[in-house]
Amino acid sequence: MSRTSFLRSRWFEDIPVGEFHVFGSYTFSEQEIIEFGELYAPQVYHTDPDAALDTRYRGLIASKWHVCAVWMRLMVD
Amino acid sequence: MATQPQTFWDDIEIGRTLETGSITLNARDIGVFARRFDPQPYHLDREAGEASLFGGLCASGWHVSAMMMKLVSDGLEAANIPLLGTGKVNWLEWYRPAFDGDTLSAHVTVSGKSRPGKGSGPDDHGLVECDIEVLNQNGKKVMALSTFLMIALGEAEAGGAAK
Repeated sequence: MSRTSFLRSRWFEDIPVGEFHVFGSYTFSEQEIIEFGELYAPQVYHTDPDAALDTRYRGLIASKWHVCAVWMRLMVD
Repeated sequence: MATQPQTFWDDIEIGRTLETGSITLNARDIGVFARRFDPQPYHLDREAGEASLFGGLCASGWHVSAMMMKLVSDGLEAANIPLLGTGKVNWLEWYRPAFDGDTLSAHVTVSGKSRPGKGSGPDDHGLVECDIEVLNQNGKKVMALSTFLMIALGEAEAGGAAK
């Protein structure tokens, strides 16, 4: 069952400029950073925790496009 | 895989272009990405997509963005251009949906070059500002962005700083 069925729909005209939301939080796991990296952004700083230590980022980081996708999910939810 | 000599920041000229390979979208991949990151009906269900303002089952804009990164990454790899990181996205626009069955490729044009300021990490790269267009099989623009790529410096520019 969709959680949204309990909420009153709000339309364009109901949303004021300046409305502010916090969408919750999300924790990135090493495994999913690597999975996304291998599929879409195959640089070692997204795919190899050890080799990532020798890059400018000094460790495994999520692709910016992964971060964008997670932001989308937080907003949709 | 790369067979050409390495091309460094120093060697890249403004106006240089790069054509990537291509990726063909299928409903399964569109659904896998959407269930995880963008679970909206027009990305999940063909009938819902056809009834939506997009007119068909189409990929999330972030899925298109991720595929753009894959195309550009593989294109740089094939051209033997060492990518050390990416920087700011100046702007990004989506122009039309990428539907199930569409084939996407990217076209990269170098629009500017600069050296990063002090305090931005190891002095081993230069910035290449690029316009990147993602086109479908009909040559129609699906998305475009302007962004910075961090490209390794050649020996001459890196001097003693290179490892």
